[in-house]
This record gives sequence, structure tokens and C-alpha cells, in this order.
Amino acid sequence: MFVFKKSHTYPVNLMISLAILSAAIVSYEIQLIQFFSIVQWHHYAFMVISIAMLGFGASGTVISLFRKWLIQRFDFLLPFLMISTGLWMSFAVRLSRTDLFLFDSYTLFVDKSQVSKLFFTYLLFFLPFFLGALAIGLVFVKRVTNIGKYYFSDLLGAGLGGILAIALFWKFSPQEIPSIISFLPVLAGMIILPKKNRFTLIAFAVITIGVGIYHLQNPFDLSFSPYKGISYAKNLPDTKIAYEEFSPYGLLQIVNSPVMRYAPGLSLTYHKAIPSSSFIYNNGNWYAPIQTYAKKDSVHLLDYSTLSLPYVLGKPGHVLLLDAKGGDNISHALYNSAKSITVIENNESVISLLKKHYSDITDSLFFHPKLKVETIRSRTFLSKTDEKFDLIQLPLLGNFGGSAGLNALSEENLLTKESFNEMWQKLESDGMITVSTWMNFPYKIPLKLTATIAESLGSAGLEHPLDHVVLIRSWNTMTFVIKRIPLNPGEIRKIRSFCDHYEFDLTLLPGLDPSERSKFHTLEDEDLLYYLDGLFTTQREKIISEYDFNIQPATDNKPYFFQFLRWKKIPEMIKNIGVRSIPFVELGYLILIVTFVQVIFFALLFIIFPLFRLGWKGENKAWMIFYFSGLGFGYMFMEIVLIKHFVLYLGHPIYSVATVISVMLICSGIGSYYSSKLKTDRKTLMKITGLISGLILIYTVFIGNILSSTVGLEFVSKIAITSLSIAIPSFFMGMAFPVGLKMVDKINASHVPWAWGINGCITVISTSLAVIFAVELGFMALMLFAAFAYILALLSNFLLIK
Amino acid sequence: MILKMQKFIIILFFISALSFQQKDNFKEQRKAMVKTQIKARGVKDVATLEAFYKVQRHKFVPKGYINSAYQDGPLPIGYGQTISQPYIVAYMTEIIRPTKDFKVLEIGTGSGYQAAILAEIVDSVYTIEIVSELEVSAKKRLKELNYNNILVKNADGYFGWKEKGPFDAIVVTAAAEFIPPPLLEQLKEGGRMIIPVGSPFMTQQLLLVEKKRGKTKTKSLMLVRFVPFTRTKK
Repeated sequence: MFVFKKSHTYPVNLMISLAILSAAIVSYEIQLIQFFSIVQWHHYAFMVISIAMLGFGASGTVISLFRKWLIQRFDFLLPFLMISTGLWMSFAVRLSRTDLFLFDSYTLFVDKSQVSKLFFTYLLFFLPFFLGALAIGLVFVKRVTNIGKYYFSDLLGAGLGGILAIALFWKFSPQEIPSIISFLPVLAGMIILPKKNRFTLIAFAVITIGVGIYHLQNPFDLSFSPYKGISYAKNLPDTKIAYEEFSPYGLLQIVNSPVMRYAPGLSLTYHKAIPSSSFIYNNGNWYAPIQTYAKKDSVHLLDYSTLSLPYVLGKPGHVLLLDAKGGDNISHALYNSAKSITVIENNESVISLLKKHYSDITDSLFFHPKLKVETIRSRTFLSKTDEKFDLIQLPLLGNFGGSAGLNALSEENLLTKESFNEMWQKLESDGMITVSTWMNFPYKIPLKLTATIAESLGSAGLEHPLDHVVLIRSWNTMTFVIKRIPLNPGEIRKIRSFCDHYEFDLTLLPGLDPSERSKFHTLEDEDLLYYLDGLFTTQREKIISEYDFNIQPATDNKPYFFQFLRWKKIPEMIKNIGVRSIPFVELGYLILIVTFVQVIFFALLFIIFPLFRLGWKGENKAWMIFYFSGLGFGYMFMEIVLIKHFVLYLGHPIYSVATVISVMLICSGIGSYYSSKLKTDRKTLMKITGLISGLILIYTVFIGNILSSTVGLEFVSKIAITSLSIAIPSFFMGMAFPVGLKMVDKINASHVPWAWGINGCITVISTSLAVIFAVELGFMALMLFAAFAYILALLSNFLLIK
Repeated sequence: MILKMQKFIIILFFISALSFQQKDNFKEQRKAMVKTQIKARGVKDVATLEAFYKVQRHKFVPKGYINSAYQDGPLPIGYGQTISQPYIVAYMTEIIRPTKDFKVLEIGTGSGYQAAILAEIVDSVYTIEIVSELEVSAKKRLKELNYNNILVKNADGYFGWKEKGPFDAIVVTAAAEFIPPPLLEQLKEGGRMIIPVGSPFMTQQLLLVEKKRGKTKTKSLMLVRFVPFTRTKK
């Protein structure tokens, strides 16, 4: 047993310092997720979380290997590590924009050098998390007898860090935020300066602050992927970014260009000029055109597209436009004399921008007296509204030419079976739903959309669903209209005449002759038509199960509409298109898998293998493996599933992430604090893990009903319900780790690093694994897995030998 | 002095031998590309195949990618643009059925490779590039390679090239989400327009637009990426 010299740092200072450092690390992690969404794509969120967790895991290993050396220098090292964390925080983001580190998702499977760049990026961002985690870990090891209190300040700080990140998003740019956050670890270090070496540390802190200020005054270029929409736009002549705004909704940019135009699937019979437009980009991706309100005497381009189909059937009364974006559908509805329009757009910044800064260009479209605008998630609106509509319109799905699977991991609650059922319920007796999609190749979105509509109509109990459906297509768009009552002969005549006039092909229509289906736009083969027809018959399940891609309708439990990869079809695809081509069909999901494999490798390399140097002798190995793995899996699975659940309930991912992370961490912190009063014995461990498993199982059964019955409440009430429902299990979840750690300390103190290592390794792995489970098995299964993980921890206590 | 001269001659000999060796290497690679990537996948048009034997693709790629020039895939050329996979260029060339008297419009010059292939077969190629940096480098490259029947301009492809039209064929390498009405106007009666739909790094669907008796019709052709994407018939 070592005899340590007395530390000069006071417990309260240390607790405050620890909380500030944790707040900095979590806010840095969240800003990094946002940063990668901007310069690359959002699926790097999982990479960032796993890098952060890897930093924590690896720090535990380093502590265990050099415990004596580190603890002897605790007073100096702790502030030194904190200040170093700050220094790397501001450096890492800037360095990542240099040639050595700039990688690109699109060419990851084409250009071998991209793999090494991704590897270097991984290491670069690993450093600030590792240094910060090393500081936190040192405190825990040094003060293990009071771990509950320090764990509390760590988690409290982390919880506040989530809120801090959201606050920073409203005020500062993506280039500024890392430097601003970097001041916090410096502050944390300054609070606990020792008497010895004080001036060296102060000088180091001054230099770090100086670096941060330099970065603030000399912002670096974001260097978007050259394959992002904004990069294409910037290369165009006389194209300018007219406005830029950063918020929790991401980076919003308005591009003015004389050479950019918007006319999706325009009829080839249109011979007039197509005017140029201004466009909105969100996180560097094309978001929407800014549409002027077309006066009655002018032409509306969408009238020359398949999107005009619902208006062919008559003038609608009350229109609901879901995910209305920049307003092209609004002006189209006004052009077609809609009586009243309810506009739902989730992105508050977009609406505010169009109302405040661009009302001259939009001709005050968003102030039109016929409009009622709500900034809420479309699905949340559908769940809470009692109104009925004559026409419900969804946004145009997908991207022109396909999105290469880069949206595979985004939850699309609006495109689930349950969502279509809800829309059906919100229709007037003769109302209709319309939805259009870009054609993508191989056929994926059109078929999944058709399968969803077919199943939804099946749930509505329609005897002849095809009597209610029209589908038309141009060379690159398809538009559905689904009517609540069967189409009448007059409507069918109007549709035929419309398609003949604009040279669109009829694809589904009551009484359609097969020869009418490819009059203007011949398909490569008849496969698309075969599948479209089949999806409305008893062959549906067979087609879905045999198709090369996942066209199973998305559900609220698995709302991944744009995820098309099927594992069991991969061998067949390799046979058809070759192994090298697979990444080029579905990139997004594969990047998650690559990340997952990568994190397993790094977790073993940095966390587990070095621990073997310590050796691992003595009893209770099996207990430690199962107990701490169970906690690692359980906590991360629960955190991720709760974030996903509450997106729909609270109406925006930002609110969900901020509320879930903050409440979970703060309440876990309180639980941890309280745990210091508990006995350290098997009975206590069993009670805690048993209680958590039971609570999660109860949640699995009841959470859906609780959320759906309260979704219509005011936002503040929903935040309160969310916080309360997360707080209870989080409180107990916060106890399991420190009590377990104290048990390890009690049995054999030299095993503490192993407990840290196992928990860290599993936490790293479970981040990506949770997303894979959510995509493949659904949220409910993920929650059950969380419960099973805690049951595993519970059962492991039977292996505990006192 | 004589000794120095001898050394100089020997060095010159080695340098020239090396450069010949390099040329031969690329020629061999080109032959292999035509055989395994183009002919093997069904491109039969003799003029198209001849053009691919002749045009030095490695001169159209950035320096860092010269050794990958004849690989079976697209390559980045900067500004978020690519030089297409050889097979796609070949397929698009063959499908417009080019003949010696053809006047072809290309939208999206990029590196100039597609224009050079076409120029080997047809009478004249008019090509438009919207990114001025790419237009400047393509113009310089094509001039150095003595392509006198190619005219490059920096402009918005939406408007086509009215004063040089109508065209027997239009090759659109940078597809838009709509087919610009001016391009349809500048396509001759009976003319063919070919458009690849989709990201260059992903699977692409080729779209053929034909103008017959005043009506414009489209036809989706095969999905392409490395090899044609085929599905088992149900």
C-alpha cells in the first residue's frame, strides 16, 4: 500500500474544478458532433461519442499502469492536465482542417489516403478527451473513499455542459465555440493551483488562453467536404453566401446565385425560362429554395411538375403542409386557391429568417392571411392536433440522384406506418394525402413509400385500396395521391388529361390499361411496375422479404425510412455488382459499421491490452467482467434510446438531447452522491441493479402510452414529464458504478483499473452498437437490452466471493 | 570532353528509354482498360473503342492520381467534380451513336476527357464548363493535346450554346434536376441527349432523351457502377 503525501487542494475547490472540467468536456463533445455534421455528415456523431468514451477508457488504463507515479505528482499534474485539455481543445479543431487530417466520406472507399486521414483525425480528437478524462480519473483514484461526492460533481458538471453547448450554439460560430470552451478547463486548473510550481502553471495557462484568443481572432476556414451542396454552390460564378446564421439547428446559409434554379421533375413540355432562385443550406446540405409568392397572373413552376397532381382534382379547402421548409409548397397551394393553409416547419431558424430577413423576396409569403405557421416537428403536430384537413402534403422525399445512403441513420418519424395512419385520421371525409419522391436507382424510396402506403391503407380496413390511389411519374419524380374515398370517374378523367397534357406517365390509377404506363418515359425494365403492383397485393410480404434492399415500411419503433441495406442480401449483391461496389450503394450505414469495428480495435488496443501489463490475479474476475460490462451496456443503451424516444415527444432532437443528457447526468450524479451513504455489500449491489432493471422493464411497457397520451400538453409540461420520467431510473443508475467500484476497492484495490477499463471499453463499443440495434431491432428491443444488461449485472452478484 | 559527351549521351539514352517505357506502360494500361472495362461489358462501337485506345486518360487526371488513371472508377479532379469511370464515358459515347459529321454539345467539361473522346470520332465538340478554374485548365490541356475541333467556354450550361446549335447530340455530364428547355430546343430533330443521374461515386442511372416528331421522350438505361447492376427476374 502506498503512502501518499497530503494534497494541497481543498475538496470544495476540487469539486468545483471537476464540475467545470466535465462541463467543458461534454459541451466540447456536443459541439464536435455539430461540427462534423456541418463539415461532413451527421453519422460522425457516433464516431465523436466513441472517441470521447475511448479517451475516458484509455485514461483509466494509463492511471492503472502509472498509478503511483501519477498520484505522487497529483497536485501539479491535475491542473497541468486540465490546462492541457484546454490547449488541445482549441488546437484540435483547427488542425483537423489542415491537409494531414482533412478526410472525406464520399471518397473513403475510393481513395486509400482517406482512411489514414480518418485514422489521424480519430487520434487528434482523442487527445483532449484523454487528457481531460485523465484528470477526472486521477481525482477518482486519489479520493476513492469519497468517490460518490466527486462522481456527483463530475456528472453535475457534465449535465450542465449539455445545456452550455446549446447556449453557445445560439451565440457563437462553429469556429469560435471550441476556443470558448477551451477556457473552461484552464479555469478549472486555475482553481486548484498548488503552491509549488504555481508560476509555471500560471504561465502555461496564460499561453493557453493566448492561443484561444488567437484562434478567436483568426477564425479558420470550415473546409466543407467538396461533395456537399454548399461546396458545389460556392464554385459557381457570381454565387454568394448572402446570409449565415448558427444555432442549435445547425449552420444556416442563404445562397444567392444567378445560375441556380429549382424545378423538380419539370415537364418536358415546359418551354419558358426558369428563373434563378435563392437557396437555403443547412449544415452545408441543400435545404430548400426560397420561393416567391406567385401571383395569379404568373406561372408557378410546380404546376408543371407531378407535384401538381392533388390540385388537378379540385381546389382544396384546408391544407396541411408538413415539413414546409422554404415555402415552395406554400406558394403552390396559394397559387391553387387553397382556402387556408397550416404550415408546419420544424426549423425555427428557417421560419424566423424567412419572416424577418427575406420577407421582401418571398413577398411576405409567411405573413399571408391564409397561413397559420407552427414551428414544431410535423409528427408531433399530427399527434396533438384535433383539426381535419382536405389535403395533407408531405415534402418531396430523397434527393435528386439519390443520397448515397447518407441519411440512413436519421429518424424519420413522419414517414412511418403509424404516421400515415395518423394522417389518414386527420383527413376530412373526402380529403387526400399527397407525397412525392425523387426516383432513385436502384429503386428504393419509391418502393418503400409504396409499401408504407399499402400497409397503411390495409390498416384502414379498405376493401379495394387501389381505388383510392393515384401514382404518376415524370423522368425523375413520382407523386402519389391517396384519397379517403374512392376516386370517381370525373377525377380519373381529369388525371388522364393532366398527364397527357404535361407528358407524365400514369403508373397507378383505377382502370388503367398496361399500355398507358410508359407512354412518355420508358423504364429500363418492367421491374418497378411489377413491384409497385405487387406491393398492393398479397405478394407484399414476399416482395419485401426478397427485394435486394430493405423496403420494409418504417415504424415508430424503427423510424429509419432511408436505411436500405440488408445484411442477408450482401452476398447476393457482391455476386451481382462486386464487393468493391457495395459501399457505393449504401454509404451511411457502412460508415457506422466501419466506426464500430474501428472502436472495438481502439478500445482493445488502448484500454484492455495495456492492462495485461498489470496482471490480473485473484478472485471475482467473472463478477467484475459481467457487473461492469452490464453497467456499460445498460447506461449507454438507455441514454441513446431515451434521446431517440423523446425527439418525437419534445418535437426536436436538440431539446431531446439537451434534456435527456442533462437530466440523466445530473440525477445520476445525485444518485452517486447519495450512494456514499450506502453500505458496500452484495445485497446493496443487488438491490440497486434489481431496481434499475425493474424500472427499465416497466418503462418498456408503459412509456409509449404515457408519451402518446400527453403529447398534446404544453411544452413546459412535457419537459417536466420528460425530466421526471428520466430522473427516477437515472438516480439509481448513478449509484451502481460508484458502489461497484467501492466493492472492487474493498476486495482488491489493485483491480480498480480493471473495473474502469472494462466499463470504459464497453461504453465505447455500446455507443455504435446501440445505434445498430436501434436500426436493426428497434427502440423497444434496445430498451429491453438495457434492462437485460442490468439484469446481467444483477445476476453477476451471485458470482461475488466476499 | 569526349568522355563527358559519352556520359551525356548515355544519360540521354536512359532518360529517353525510361520515358518510352512510361509511355508503353500507359499504352498497355489503356489497352487493358479497353479490353477488361469497356469491351468486356458490351461496348462494341468500333469508333468509340478506337477513341479510348488513343486518348491518354492519364493526362486528364490530377498529378496525384496519374497512376490510378486507368482504374475502373471515377477520380476526383477538384471543385467537387470528377472524371467519370471509363466505362460510363464509353457507354455514353456509344449511346449517342456518334458519326464523323456529328456536332455535339457537352454540358460540364470537367477535365475535358469526354470531350476528347468525342473529338476523336465526331466533326466538332462544343463544351461548356461553369467552374471557371476547370474551364481554364481543360482548355489549356486540350490545346496542348492538339484538339482543334473542340471549343470550350465558361458559361452556365442551362442556356446551351444557341449560336452553335442545333446539335446532333448533347452529352450532359453534370445533371440537373430538370432538363433545361434551351437544351431541348437546341437538340436536332431525331437527336439524342444522354444524362447520368446520381452521384459519380455511386450507382448511376443513364437517361436517354430523344426528340422525335416534335415530342420529347425519355428512356431509362442501365444502372452503372463498375458493372451493370442486374437483378434476377422474378
